[in-house]
Amino acid sequence: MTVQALTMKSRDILRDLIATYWQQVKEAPLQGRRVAWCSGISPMDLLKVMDFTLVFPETYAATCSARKVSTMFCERAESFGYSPDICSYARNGLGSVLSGDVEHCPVGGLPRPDLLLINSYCAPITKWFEELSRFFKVPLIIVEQPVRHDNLNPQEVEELVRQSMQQLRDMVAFLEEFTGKRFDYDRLKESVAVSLQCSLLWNEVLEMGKHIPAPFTCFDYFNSLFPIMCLRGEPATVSYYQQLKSDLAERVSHKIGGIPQEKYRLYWDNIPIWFKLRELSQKFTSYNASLVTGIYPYTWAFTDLDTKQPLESIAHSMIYFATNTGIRGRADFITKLVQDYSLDGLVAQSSRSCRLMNMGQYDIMNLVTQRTGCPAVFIEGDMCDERVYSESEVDSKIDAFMELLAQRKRAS
Amino acid sequence: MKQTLKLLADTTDSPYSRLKQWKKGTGRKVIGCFPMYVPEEIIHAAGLLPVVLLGQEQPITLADNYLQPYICTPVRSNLDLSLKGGLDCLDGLVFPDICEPAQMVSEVWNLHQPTPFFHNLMVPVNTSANYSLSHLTQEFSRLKAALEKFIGRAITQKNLKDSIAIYNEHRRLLHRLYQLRREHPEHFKARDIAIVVSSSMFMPKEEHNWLLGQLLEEVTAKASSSTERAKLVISGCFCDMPEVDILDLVEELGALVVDDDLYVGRRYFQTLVNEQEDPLEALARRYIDDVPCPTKYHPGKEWGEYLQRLCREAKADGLLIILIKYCEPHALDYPRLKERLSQDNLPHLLIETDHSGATGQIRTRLQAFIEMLQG
Repeated sequence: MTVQALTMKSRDILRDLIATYWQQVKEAPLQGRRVAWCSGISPMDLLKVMDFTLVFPETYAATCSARKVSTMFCERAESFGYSPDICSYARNGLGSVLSGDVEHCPVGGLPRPDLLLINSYCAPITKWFEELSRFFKVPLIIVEQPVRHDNLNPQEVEELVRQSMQQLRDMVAFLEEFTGKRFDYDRLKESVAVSLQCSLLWNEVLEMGKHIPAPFTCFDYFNSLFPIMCLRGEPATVSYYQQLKSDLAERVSHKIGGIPQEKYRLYWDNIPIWFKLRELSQKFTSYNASLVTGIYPYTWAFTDLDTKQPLESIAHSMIYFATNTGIRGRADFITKLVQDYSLDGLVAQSSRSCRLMNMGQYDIMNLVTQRTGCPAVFIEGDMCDERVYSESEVDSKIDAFMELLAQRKRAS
Repeated sequence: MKQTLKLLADTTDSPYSRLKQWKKGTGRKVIGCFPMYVPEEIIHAAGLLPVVLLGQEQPITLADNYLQPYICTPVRSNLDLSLKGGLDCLDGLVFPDICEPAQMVSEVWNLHQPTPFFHNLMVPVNTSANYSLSHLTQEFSRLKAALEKFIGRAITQKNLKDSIAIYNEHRRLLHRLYQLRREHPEHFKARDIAIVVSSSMFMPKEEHNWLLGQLLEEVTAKASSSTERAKLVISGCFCDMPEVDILDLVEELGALVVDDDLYVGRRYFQTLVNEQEDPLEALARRYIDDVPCPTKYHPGKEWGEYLQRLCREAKADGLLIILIKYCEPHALDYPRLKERLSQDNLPHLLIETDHSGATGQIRTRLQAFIEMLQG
């Protein structure tokens, strides 16, 4: 049976889900709903409980990149004095806001925020939102994001959770004052329950990649990331992932892969190159190589949320999420993926302007290769800035790598 | 002044071979601190010598195997020096999480060049929250406990207070030196000032205090004079030694450096530690109250305003900003700084460098800037 032979009902659901989301976002200010702009990792459940409509400028930057307008917005930011070496998500975000160019913005741009919320996991997210706070004259909530360094002992990590918890309590007090409403812990419990359900389903969806052939590739799950990032805690998101899971299960039962002929199973490291998804997907497919997993999407699998202790478990999840580790921590995680997903190779994308993701990447990949024998290739890309991407260079690296994998297959 | 300066310059030229000798002579241990926010006083109070990692002048060769080329020079240069064996005199390392490259290079370092003592210091970004001070105090006490375990004995309140007093004395002496420079800028080469400050990062502060005393006696004898030369304040280079070639060029082109906002400069000593308060809390408060910094969030404290005041007090005509290539926090703050400086009519020039020296382009731009200031 061919790939096309099975309809993915979840695809239509996703399209509707995203369309409805943007419509609600657009209507929020008209309906008197407060809008908050949040970082990708943040205690967003707390804002949902307070009836904020949430938007995520990093995800929006990915949308801009996929629609091929991000490079232009990066250039706009540069015209305001921002160096081209700065994170391209931040440049896209600042360029689109400061230039006021709504015309080129996907979905007509993001509605004006009433509040900003971030976890301070990198300098650009902090500085970018600090600038937004100044520009829109709205408050910025910063939750400290310490790294779960390799050399911290369990008690020290628990102390980080305790400190996060204290910050969340502080945030609740701020939100009560800001909105003039009592914070409803019962609603938080409900929201966390749905977020947990979404996270568990997301985790199960990702784990479908363990099947041979894998029913989908990273180029599919990159698209499916949107609800877990932006609509976590929504019942509609639960339905979507349930449908996606059953679609994938059906594929698995018919042994239908994400690509027509799966010969190689690969790992994708780091943020997607949003503006090159189609080309990269075709490139790997031409080699019968399926990118079946990666650590990046696991970042949003907050499976340790707990409805009995909603606030504590949010604090916990913000310290323990998959990518918030040192080098050994991440190498351990990826090593397990290599084993569980029966991988043949690792594709490591160094996102040129994302220091958070590319620092330590050489060592992480080397450790995994040493432990598993799985070879790695490094390609240089970016999230949003097409100007730094060299198609011919990336292509020739992939060509050489696939040749190496072919030799290994022949030899084995 | 020349003699003392020569001694300090020798220390800065080959800090690590001198530290090896010092260790042999004293039998004491040395802890390397990545810039900018390790509370050296706590390490000093443990009877250890804290030194600041300022990289090297040699070309980077080995670090490229571990870090992408678009990571800043200070991070790559320090790791490279370590990989070459140039830092084998270190018994320990402390890395403050000031930015993503600094927080993660610690992990790379620990993998390839582990030291007996190793500590990640998680300093907060937000200095304005009501828990900022208490969380940081707690983080400093975690450092203290780790050091106690390493040395096998307790660090007492008195140890801490004594060390803080010695460090404050050092800060006061440097304030006096900087005051003298403001009054007689023509007597001070920017390169020499950078050497004075950087040398203090590689020797016990007690010793440096004594040398600074000598130095100050030697300079106070000079007569005052007036000058027509353009006066500059230099800002930037947050994790490393400013390139002396560029400092020399500023003077060669006719300008005088009257003050600075450099890490190897005023930023290192500007804020004193309150000696009346609990020592760890006082050290944490220093971090909170310190000079504005691109790695921190401190609403209500404008860096541009701080620089404007610094330039006014130092009677400077303009500001030279040195941005280390790939220093993302600094690059992110620049547009706002630029806007603020132009509102205040404070002329400034931004140059970006990755330690490739005083290139032709830098010379041309500096020359035009200085000529403009001299009108």
